Amino acid sequence: MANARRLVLAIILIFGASAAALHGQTAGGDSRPAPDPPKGSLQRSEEILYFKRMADSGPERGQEIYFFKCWVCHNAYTRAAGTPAPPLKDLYKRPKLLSGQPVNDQTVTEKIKKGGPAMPGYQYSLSDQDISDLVSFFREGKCCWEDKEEFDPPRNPRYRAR
Amino acid sequence: MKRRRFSISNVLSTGISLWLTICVLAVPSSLRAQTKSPLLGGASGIVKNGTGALLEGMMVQLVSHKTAIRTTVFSDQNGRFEFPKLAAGWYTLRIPRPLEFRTYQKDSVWVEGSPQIEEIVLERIHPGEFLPPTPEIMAQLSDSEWLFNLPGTGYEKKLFSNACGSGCHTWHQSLRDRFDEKGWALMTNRMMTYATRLLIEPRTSRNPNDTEAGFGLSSEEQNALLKFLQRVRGPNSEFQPMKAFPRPKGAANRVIITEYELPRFDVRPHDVVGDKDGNIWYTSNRNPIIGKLDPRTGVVKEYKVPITVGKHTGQHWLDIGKDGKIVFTETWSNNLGVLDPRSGEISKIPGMGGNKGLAPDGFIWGTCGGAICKFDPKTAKPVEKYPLKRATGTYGNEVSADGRYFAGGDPWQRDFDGVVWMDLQTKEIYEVETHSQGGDPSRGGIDPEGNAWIGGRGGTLSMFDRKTHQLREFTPPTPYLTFYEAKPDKNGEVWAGAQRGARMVRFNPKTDRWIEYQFPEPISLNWRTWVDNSSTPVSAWYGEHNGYIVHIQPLE
Repeated sequence: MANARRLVLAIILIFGASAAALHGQTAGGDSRPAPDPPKGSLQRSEEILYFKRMADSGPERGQEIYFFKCWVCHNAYTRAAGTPAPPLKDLYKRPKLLSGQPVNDQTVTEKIKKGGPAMPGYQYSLSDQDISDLVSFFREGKCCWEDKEEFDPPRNPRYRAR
Repeated sequence: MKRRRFSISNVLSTGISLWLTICVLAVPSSLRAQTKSPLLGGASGIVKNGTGALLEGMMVQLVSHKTAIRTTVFSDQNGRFEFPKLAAGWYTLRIPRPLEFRTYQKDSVWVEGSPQIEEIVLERIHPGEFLPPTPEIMAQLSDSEWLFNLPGTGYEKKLFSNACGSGCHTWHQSLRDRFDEKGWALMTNRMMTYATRLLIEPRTSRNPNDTEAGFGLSSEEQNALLKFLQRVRGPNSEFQPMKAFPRPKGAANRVIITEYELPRFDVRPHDVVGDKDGNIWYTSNRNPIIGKLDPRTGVVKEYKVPITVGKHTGQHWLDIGKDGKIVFTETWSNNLGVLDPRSGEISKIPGMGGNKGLAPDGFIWGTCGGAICKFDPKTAKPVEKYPLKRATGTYGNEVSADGRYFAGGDPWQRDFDGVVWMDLQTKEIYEVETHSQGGDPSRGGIDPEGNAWIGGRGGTLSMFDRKTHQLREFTPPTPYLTFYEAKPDKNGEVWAGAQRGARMVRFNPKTDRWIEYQFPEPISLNWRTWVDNSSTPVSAWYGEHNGYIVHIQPLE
């Protein structure tokens, strides 16, 4: 009977330890640090495809849209090589667009949507929210990507290793 | 006859023995083989659907709260998955790319030792074979799946793949857009008539001898490509229900994929290479930063490359010399660079960009002026030239580990689509065309037998056979994959990042077997694979264009 008791005790201990481990996996213990889960979508492709790596809206999101959709023709290097696309830095400080229209949200939005002789119109590619964020990037004087961002890229808030 | 005694201990002993035996026998042989891998031994569990069916090929990911390192494993045919032993701590548990299933994520799971993770039950929210083209679904499909599901002829789609799959951008970037006819004409004109990935200069102003339009396209092909885009991505076009490619099976599930975050956005990693201390170095294609990742901690040390005024920053090729120094090229400013890891000092020599091959003796090989050239690493100038007859130059340039052979791929040349190979000892040169004449072979490597393996943007792996001097092409099972490169390992198997398909292929030429390791992220561009031959089995690393470093560790 002593053997039986030892065996039963061993089984209880094994199951008890297993239960504790299972409990610990979700409940946490006092000595553990507080959980600090990463924010935002963990499917990177959702943020990449919809230009939301840096922000969900506003000029920071507009900066990302600018990089993917505008930079290729409007950057300083290609202008130096003769591309006709005008620089967009300080756009809202200028008296007028190349078309002669005043610079405001309405005319800049219209230009992005309809394009021009050498520029595709983005009315079917970018949503109203996309264009609004892009316009805010210009309006708030954040443009353009090629200065600070090229030499000193923005910090990645997801990077946590220390 | 002695009467047998029944006691509690006897019953329990017999019962437990029987139970253990049944448990062992019930575990399939594949799982027993899997759990033997020294790479495993961590958290484990089962994935099933709402009806109780076990799900195979599901990715299961743990994201460390402390380091942000993401570890992904795959469920086998019994729905079972097992992680490697991870550092004790809090993790987010999730299913990447759930597609037809509802998003599954648990933000705070404590992992310590080898816990049994509670059963993962996935709820199917999209019935049927086809997936609705919602924003969530479209973001979970790869470039290849996007193109596969578009209307269009084989001719149109292959033209698109060849030209727009040369590597500069993802297909998501082009195919998410819709333009009117004028818009697509302007867009394709810019893409084809401006040079290099940044499209800064018109091709002919950069090089008067260059063709007016890139990618080797004839005027008829350019027009067909334009019409295709105008039709399938015109103003009123809509995506139809999508058919996803199959989830992985068998050996493709026996792998661990680890992703390491980098300290910055938009460094656009290009090449990676490992040093003798186990660190992974990477170049940044769009910024003046070279990084060193310590995979044990996920910590990255950054080195700032001095800027060349008036030229875009960014590097390309990367290798490590026998002296431990990091050798690289700056792609837009055309410099050869050397970084001393001990001091952090960086020196640059003008006149050398693109991809080169570093020989064991420290000399650098490539092509120049229609010849295979040996460059002095101190001056970046050619010291020997071996003229080519058919190829005008090579994009990738490789030197075998023993320094005996040179090879490179020549994409986009209209009258020669092939591989260049040279015996650096005998000076024999072979320039061999692909049978497909559309392989666009680019970068690669040389296997232990001296055969060249070159990945092609046309979607094939080209192999130049050292003994027969013949070229063979190998096409992967999945459609619309493109290759920028290939890397043979110490066993003669070939690894290649399949751009567009969000996967890395592993091809065994002895058995003609392809294993495709799928990535947790469907938007993916892998520029250069580095194979770590120090372990058995070997493992592969690459720098993801979208800003993180990926480690692929097969279990077999």
